[in-house]
Amino acid sequence: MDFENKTILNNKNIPLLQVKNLKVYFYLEEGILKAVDDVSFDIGRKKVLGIVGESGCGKSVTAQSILRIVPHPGKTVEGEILLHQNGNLVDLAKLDPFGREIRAIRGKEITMIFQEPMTSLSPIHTIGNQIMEAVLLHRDMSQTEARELTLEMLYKVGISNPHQRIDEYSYQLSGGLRQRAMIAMALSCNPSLLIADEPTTALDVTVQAQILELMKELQKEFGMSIIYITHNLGVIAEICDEVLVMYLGKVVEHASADEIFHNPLHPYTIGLLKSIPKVGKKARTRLEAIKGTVPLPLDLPRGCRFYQRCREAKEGICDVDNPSLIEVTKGHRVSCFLYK
Amino acid sequence: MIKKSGMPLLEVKNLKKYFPVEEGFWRKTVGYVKAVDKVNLYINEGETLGVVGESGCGKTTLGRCILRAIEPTEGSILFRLNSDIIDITKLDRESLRATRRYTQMIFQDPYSSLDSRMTVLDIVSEPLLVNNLATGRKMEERVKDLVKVVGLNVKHLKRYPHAFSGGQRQRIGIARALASNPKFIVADEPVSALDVSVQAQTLNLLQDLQARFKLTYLFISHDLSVIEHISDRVAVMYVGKIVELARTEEFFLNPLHPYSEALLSALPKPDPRLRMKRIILSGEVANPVNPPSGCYFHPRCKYAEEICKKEEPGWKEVNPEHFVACHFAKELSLKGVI
Repeated sequence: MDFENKTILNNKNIPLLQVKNLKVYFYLEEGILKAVDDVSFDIGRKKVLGIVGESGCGKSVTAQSILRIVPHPGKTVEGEILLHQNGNLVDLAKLDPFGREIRAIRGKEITMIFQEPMTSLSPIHTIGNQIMEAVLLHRDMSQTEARELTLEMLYKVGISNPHQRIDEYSYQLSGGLRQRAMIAMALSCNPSLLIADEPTTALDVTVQAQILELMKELQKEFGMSIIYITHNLGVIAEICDEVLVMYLGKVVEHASADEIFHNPLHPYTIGLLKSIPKVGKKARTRLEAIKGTVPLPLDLPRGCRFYQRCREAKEGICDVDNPSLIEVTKGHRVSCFLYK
Repeated sequence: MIKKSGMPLLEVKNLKKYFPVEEGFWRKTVGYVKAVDKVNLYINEGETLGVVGESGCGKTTLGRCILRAIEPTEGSILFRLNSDIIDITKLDRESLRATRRYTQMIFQDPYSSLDSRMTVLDIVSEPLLVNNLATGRKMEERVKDLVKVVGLNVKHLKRYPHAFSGGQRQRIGIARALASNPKFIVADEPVSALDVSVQAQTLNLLQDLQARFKLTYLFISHDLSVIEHISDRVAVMYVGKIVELARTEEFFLNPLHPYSEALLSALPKPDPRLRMKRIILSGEVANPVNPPSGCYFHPRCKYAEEICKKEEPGWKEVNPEHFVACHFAKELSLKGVI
């Protein structure tokens, strides 16, 4: 099967996707929950962008808003999500979430894999039928061709004995195999962007290593960009080119993976890196934990959202204004008053 | 077994837990899941033994068997209480209840392990009431102390668990475990459900409490970096068996079992400059209902030879305090962490 190589057709300098000033709010009885608040970033072609942060930081909602699948009562209030597609420019934020246009993009141009492969696969359809459904919907293929392609995809994601597996149900597969089947489905229409939301969090370390290796290989082969969402800094270091650190709906730092791990600037990033136990370091030392817990993003006080937990917080500055995201060195953006 | 530093607090000998697999209308037993199979280990007083392994390897079952929260099939669990040594597996109901106050457990999920209809006061005081340790005002004082010790606000005693975050709930669980002044605590994945920054706080708390109350931990986790951080010694489990047991530094620098080597290699390191070729194990953890012949790890092991398919390797002390179950433990030179 020959997959057209989209990257050659397009200008390399134009990013694949640009998110500009995105705001996604949830209107709850208790108040307005600002899940994503003024987030901007670009994803280059063939790049892997990691989004890292603790629970409630808005990393999943950011991904969902790109596909326009933010659950009710969430609304994309403001902002643009620009997809550059064969010379065309589509603003995903303006599309009707139930409309024809977004449905042509969802599952074709942009696909997603989830944390729980058991709940995201249908229990009453065979693996093969589920993958074929996507192929038949988005590609001009006959049943036989689609089945042929599905077998090939299953083989490519390293499922042994695809001729047997294609007619099995998701409960017959182990966690690792299910995640492989999900990846096969996501890549079957040759997307230009794959969003992976904690795809290895539910898996064992040895299986996680297999899946990470597989994703790296497939990314080389298919040439898609990946948004990789995780809370695991080890996984981020393993697979990402660029990293976006989020805290309570805001981007606090954005830089190359090497910069994030070797020259972190934001106190939150520094705190996160210090709070994980590192293998190979002398055991039994105290961890430098960040004090406090992530607050609920409801009715947040003025000023920097990390103010209460920050070591470097300065009264009169940090609790008055919200720092904006500024580029400190080339490609390294941080939002903190320390770097003004 | 050699005990380097005095008498161990707990010694587990040949512990087995087989769950029957039943089939058909008459529930005929057709086989067994050997969840814990011939496990030998010891834990010294004040020490933390980390148990690491992938899902389904039997680490939780091992922890629960040691507390006799589930009945072991065979084996003995010797627990030193003051100057007596008692075998937990042989105790009758009453004496088991009496020893329960010395052995406690911290659970993984801070959401399901606390009764949502009990206040913090109810939850933390329950072990005191059940064991007749304190009542009335004395009990309330003790609960307040405990709540302070784990870093919660004393004003929140009348609140219900839903009002607390995951990290705070885990602290309530820890206060409950400490209430009866235990000597030995089984901590079953106590930080896996927590955010990174809260995980660090909880690990620090567990270490502080250990030093303060001379606690002994059996710390169960799937996360090797957490295990390295908190443990004095490490036991690696694979399909119901312990395949390696060693001091933490020794284990991480010089692992002797190929499975340990693969686990260490699979761990993603938080540094993009350390990206390297990993040992990728093929396949997944063997099915414990129908494990492979010989060494359970041989289908995934790159060093496997004929003997591994036929004979189960014995449990050998290769270096002082370094036990391993592998036919080639002495010949192989395996890679630890750099």
